Amino acid sequence: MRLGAWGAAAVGVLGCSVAAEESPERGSVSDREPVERVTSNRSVFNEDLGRYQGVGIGSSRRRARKVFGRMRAGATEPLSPLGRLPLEVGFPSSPRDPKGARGGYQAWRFDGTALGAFDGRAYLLTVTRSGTRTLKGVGVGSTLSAVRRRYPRMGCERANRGGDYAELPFCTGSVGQGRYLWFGRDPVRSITVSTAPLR
Amino acid sequence: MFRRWWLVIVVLASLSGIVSSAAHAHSKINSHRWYFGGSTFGEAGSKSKVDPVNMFFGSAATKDEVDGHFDDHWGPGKPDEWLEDQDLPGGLKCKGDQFVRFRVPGGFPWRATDFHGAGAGRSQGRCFNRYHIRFWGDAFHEAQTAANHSARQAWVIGGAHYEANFRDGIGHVPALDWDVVESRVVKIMRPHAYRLRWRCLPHSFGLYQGYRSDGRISRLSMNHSAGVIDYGVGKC
Repeated sequence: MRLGAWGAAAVGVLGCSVAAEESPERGSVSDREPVERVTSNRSVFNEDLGRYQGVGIGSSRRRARKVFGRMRAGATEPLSPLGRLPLEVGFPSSPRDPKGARGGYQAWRFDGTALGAFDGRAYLLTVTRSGTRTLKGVGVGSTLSAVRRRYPRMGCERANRGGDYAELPFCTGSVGQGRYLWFGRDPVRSITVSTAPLR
Repeated sequence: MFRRWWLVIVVLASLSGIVSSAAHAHSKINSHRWYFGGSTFGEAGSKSKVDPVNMFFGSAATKDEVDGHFDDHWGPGKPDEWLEDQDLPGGLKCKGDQFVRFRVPGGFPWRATDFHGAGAGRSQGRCFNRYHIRFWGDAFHEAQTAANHSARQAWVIGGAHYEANFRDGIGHVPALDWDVVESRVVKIMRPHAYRLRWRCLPHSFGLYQGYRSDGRISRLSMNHSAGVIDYGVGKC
């Protein structure tokens, strides 16, 4: 087989050999994880809790699938929403792992959201859905200068300078104990929160 | 007579030790510290990692020798055409140099890419969907001669990735898992002997550009040994 064909297959169906696509759960299977009450505004990205629509840091795969629906999951999957590439949406270029993380890494991918997990629990959440806003009112579609005004303690730079990948403008910083927030691209295409530093 | 046999055995054992250690000894100091870092960076002095270092080319390799073997196995009529450094269009921003840090006496300097190679992909040489590998040779071992490093140019390291050209104005992005690319490149290079996931390379572990690297570097020998498929024992 020619590599060109491999490439087409690779980009078209990313990581198809390992990932498994799953449909949303039906029925009344309840997840025992404590569930944050979803407020009336479903587009709020709660950086303090690290959650979006009640799902995020600490969530199980079952809970995420139940809320976000169709999923692809796997260790070789890119950590970006379905149909999108990480650098395209402004995902952090080299985020750190949470302390003590070892095996069992998985990327859980959904329409407009993705989670990174170790041993079945999410430690990182990224959202690309249009109109998603943090508690301070900026988010997908905002400019980085607006982000900087709302989060003046954040550092804003460009990742991937000098190499051949697309440069990535971003703002990031700590927003509380064990919470790190990242806004990628300008205007912002994704918001990411993690328990570990994102640069 | 008996003494002579012992002498032969001792000489053979020593030689095999030299051969096996020559393959490994010069990639690490005292078997525990690698001579090179595990990540590439876009600029010297940068703290922002770009790619993992995931390929080790051994057995008295020079970057020209490695390139020659890639040319053989990726050539016309093979899986894909192999494009060499000078064939890659720099103006399209698809072969930018990156930096790796190397350990030398008294320092840890940065070195820019020595050489680029790539599969032509679907775009016949343009910056599009393709495999791209940067090479760094170990010529810096020249600096180690004072430390009695007799073997120079014993190995080359590489960062292999699969890239796509994105058409919404942001340019060029990685588009496949690092470890998947590593396995594919090594297997394309059959009949070279290789060890997938040969050893753990600190700081090549983790997320890079949204794809996870297992932190283990694969070793590809420049010797042809048909059928050898070996999985290393490197753990991270």
